[in-house]
Amino acid sequence: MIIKRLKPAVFFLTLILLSSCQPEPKEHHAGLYVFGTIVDVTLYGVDRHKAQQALQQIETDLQYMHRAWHGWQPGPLGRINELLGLGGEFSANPSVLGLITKARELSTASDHLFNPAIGRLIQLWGFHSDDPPKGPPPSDDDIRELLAKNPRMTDIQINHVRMKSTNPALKLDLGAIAKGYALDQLMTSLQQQGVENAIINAGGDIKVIGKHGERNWRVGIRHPRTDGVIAGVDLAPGESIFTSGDYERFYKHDGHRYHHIIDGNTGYPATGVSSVTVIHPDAATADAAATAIFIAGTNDWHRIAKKMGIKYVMLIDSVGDVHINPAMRSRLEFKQPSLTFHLSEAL
Amino acid sequence: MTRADLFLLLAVMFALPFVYQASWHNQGTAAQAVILNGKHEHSRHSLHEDRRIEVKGPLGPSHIEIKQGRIRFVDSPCKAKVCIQRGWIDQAGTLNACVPNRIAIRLSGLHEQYDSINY
Repeated sequence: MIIKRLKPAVFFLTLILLSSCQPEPKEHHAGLYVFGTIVDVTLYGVDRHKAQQALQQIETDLQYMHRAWHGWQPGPLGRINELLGLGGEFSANPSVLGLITKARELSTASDHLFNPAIGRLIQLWGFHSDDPPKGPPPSDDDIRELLAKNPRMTDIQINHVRMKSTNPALKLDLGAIAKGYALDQLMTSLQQQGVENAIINAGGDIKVIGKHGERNWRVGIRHPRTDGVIAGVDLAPGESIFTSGDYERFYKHDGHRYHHIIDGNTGYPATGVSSVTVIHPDAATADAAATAIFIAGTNDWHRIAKKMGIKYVMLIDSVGDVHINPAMRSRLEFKQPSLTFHLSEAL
Repeated sequence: MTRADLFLLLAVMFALPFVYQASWHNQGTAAQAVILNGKHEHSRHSLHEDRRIEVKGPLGPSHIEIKQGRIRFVDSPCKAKVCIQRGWIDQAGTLNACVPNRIAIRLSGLHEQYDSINY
């Protein structure tokens, strides 16, 4: 009799208990400390065992890339920088050759606004180290002296694995492309391991593969001057989103603020822009383009984006106005009121 | 069905929304902070419980503060203090890290608006 009376209650209590059961996690996260930042990896829809294997492989690959592509520490790129300075021909380490070749192509496409050959200038400003510099800024004379030597990626001659530089002032700093190139490699590796859905955020720069279940991966773009999000966007499978901002690395000296995006034509931090956001399937291209368009500024950004084959760009200038192409405008869901838009022609 | 059954049924139906609210909904609207020490999870905290947390990294202790639904690094033994300059964060999907001290904060919730934050 008692059991019969309790039946409905037991039924509903079971429902409640079931409703609060924790399902098997569909996401697996890892935070990895490489490239002087934290790389946040999320894998979706794989079992725990496969996720652990894939995350371990990512960590191993990232640590190798960090060692190989650091221009200022002993390693393959450090050695290439030494040899480039000597002027003779040498065999380049294959682990860096593909990255240098890609950087040279993108530098040419950007009219040399993305210019990884200005490593000495970056070093002069102190932005070559993982720790941001404290200043003071370099002297005008030192900057002029380096600018006169005009190092460019086209000064590097590549013949299969053989390489030489015709400009002894050339020193490579691949900081504006390495993370993008790394994300492309990591995603290819993940797909080869059978991981179909993932998002990797390397210090704010993001690439996705697949989806988050039934929906696309959703990304918020940080406002360059406040802590909030200026806009949200859904990324299609395989896309990447990169932002170059003057708030990322900077120092203040005598009331002036000096950021890390150095214009190779003037020798000084680029002016007039707070941030540039680019969406593109190829993360290395997005990375380099975000820097090049930042340096191009409000007057020339559209031409450079078009020349580099970029279809989605948002530039926020130093007064907070949004310069954007129509396709990007229609993709972004803006979260901030009272923004002033300058809509460009289609890219 | 007796009166007792009916009473029990009504009581359960009345309680269901509150159970749902407690077990699911709060985790979505009230973002949660996951603190990572190295690769491993150190602790999880609701952003609606103000508190200070000390996490010992390889360089020494980092201090983290949760207040009024936000979280920040208050102090950390790194040179650059980039983690502290970042200030308060409150958006799910946001990550802030003291890279030299290998300590990170990741904000999450069940109904996250964003999977990740681009900057």
